Amino acid sequence: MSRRGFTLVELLVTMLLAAVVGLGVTRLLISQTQFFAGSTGRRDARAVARNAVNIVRDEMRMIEPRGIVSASATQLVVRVPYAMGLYCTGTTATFAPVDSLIWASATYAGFATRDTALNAPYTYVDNTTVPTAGSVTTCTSSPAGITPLTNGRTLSISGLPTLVAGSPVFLFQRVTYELAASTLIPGRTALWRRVTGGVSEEIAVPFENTAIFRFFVSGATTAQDNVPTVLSSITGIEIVLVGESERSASNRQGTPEQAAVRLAIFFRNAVL
Amino acid sequence: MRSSARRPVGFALPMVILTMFVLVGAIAAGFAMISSERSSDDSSMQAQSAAALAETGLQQGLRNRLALGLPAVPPTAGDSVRVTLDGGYADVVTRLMRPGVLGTGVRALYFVRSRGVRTRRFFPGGGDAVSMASAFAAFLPMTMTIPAAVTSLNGINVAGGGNGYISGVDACSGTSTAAVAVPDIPGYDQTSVVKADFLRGTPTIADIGSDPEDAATGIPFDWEDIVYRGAISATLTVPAGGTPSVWPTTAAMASFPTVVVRNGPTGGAALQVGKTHSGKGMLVIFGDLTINGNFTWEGVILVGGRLTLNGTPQIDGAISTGLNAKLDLPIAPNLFENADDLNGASIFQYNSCGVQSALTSLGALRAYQNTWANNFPAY
Repeated sequence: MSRRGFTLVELLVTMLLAAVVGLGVTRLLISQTQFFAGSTGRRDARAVARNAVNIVRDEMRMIEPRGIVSASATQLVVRVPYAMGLYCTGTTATFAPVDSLIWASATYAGFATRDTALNAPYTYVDNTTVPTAGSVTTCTSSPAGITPLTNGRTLSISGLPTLVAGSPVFLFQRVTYELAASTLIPGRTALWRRVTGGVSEEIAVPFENTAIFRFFVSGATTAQDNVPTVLSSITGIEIVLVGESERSASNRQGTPEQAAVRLAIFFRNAVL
Repeated sequence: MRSSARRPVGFALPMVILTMFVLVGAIAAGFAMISSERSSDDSSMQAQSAAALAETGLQQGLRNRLALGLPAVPPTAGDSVRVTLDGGYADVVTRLMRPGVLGTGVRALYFVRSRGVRTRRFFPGGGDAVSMASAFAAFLPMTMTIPAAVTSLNGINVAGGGNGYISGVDACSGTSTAAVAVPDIPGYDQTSVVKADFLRGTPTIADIGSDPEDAATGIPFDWEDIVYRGAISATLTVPAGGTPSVWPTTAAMASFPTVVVRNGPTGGAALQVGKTHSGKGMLVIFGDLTINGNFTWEGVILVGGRLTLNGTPQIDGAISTGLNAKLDLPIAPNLFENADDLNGASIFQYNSCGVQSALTSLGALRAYQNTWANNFPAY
């Protein structure tokens, strides 16, 4: 007669095997969860660093070195051009078309002009009287004889000095970039963008508090930590950011994932 | 009798299924995450590449117009070109904002913008990345110091003359120059009787050195770069040979083309031109030049070798000959035999406007420094 059921030995062996396999599966699950959490954290950290870089890069590339107001390892105050144009006559200048979002979000802080000599330096004038629509015929008629660009803007600018027709003019906003304490994520560092008379925003957070600005000066191939005495000798900025994930990885309680980004941005308008 | 074998009983199959389920889930999650990360990285790289393409297009549009098939001087209506680049392209548009005024120092002003489009993708499914770059630019015509209506490092021997003349008095109301400029040896010689005011200018004969080699150092432009390194971009290149095999049409002459004749600097047959080759512009001849008949030219003629003149031509502008003396080539022992022979009743009239017009096509756009912008609307 055949026996039905399991013997005690069989049951014990089965339980032992099940325990071993279960332990393995459990370890695998935990490992996968930790890997996923770590990867997500690192991705978030990279995204933080990358987003900051993208936002800052477009503005900084248009900086003209004489527009740097002050600089330190954690703060940069600059006059950022947002509309390039040519002088016509009187107080009128005509400007190239500007992306509508950039134009709408810019906060006018003044203008800069220079002579028609191809390598003449710009002179900055701080001015908060917002330019008004100017007469196109002021540009098209003699002596200027300048035809404004389609979809460009012809503006009357308070305080604009008399220049030779065709002299370059640009409008700027005053922007402070700062690596300072975040208000969105207390205890962490954020990259702030503060426009004088305009928005003040954390454009990227969180960063490790070692994030700094470094400086390229004319003639040098590597960035330096020290702020040069002559600010107009700065030809570019190196941003050293260590992006962090907002939450820590599950296997490293209290320690956020990090992703370092080191980016050099050279001023395209820095031909001295 | 029943067999003692029985169906295996255990957890093997459920455990395998569970394990596979967990592993597949983990792998799928990993792939999804990596895919998302790659897509994000790709987007960032695409944007960077588009910016580089836009910048490349802008620089090409400013400095390389001839190679892009565009005229050296942008037309009044403006022009545009698509520049194909590695990984994408750039559409470069040039717009005239103010025409220049010849002789006044008022430069033509342009706005040049480039729309860089990155079409190559590292990761499938994404769109093209677009970036803009723009700058104001001025058109800078080439300038040239003209020592005389006829400047000859070879020396000049006038064997004809007749009713012709060589005049350094500017026909365009500018500052007058010398009639001829030659080195002391072989100098300027008249072996025929010419009328009293055959040479007109201040002075009539300018001394530019003791001999051709010495005078060569005083001619302020780089003939060596022109001959050996293509410093002048030709509108039309004429191969070596006596009678030119190709020549600009009458219509093409209206825009003062630059014609380069590669019959030198040594050994090539002298270029033979006559009335049918008359025209305007910059005529650059690496070897010798022989002018026959009623050839006329408005602009500048640069001759590396020797000029022989047999007819009754008229040159309005300026001509320089013997420029190969600037190439450190051996100088013939008998300099007089190599002097330019002016056998006919020629008219050489200095004309600063003709010179400037000829040089215009050799100018170039140059960006107004520090007027670069990247916020021109890309839509």
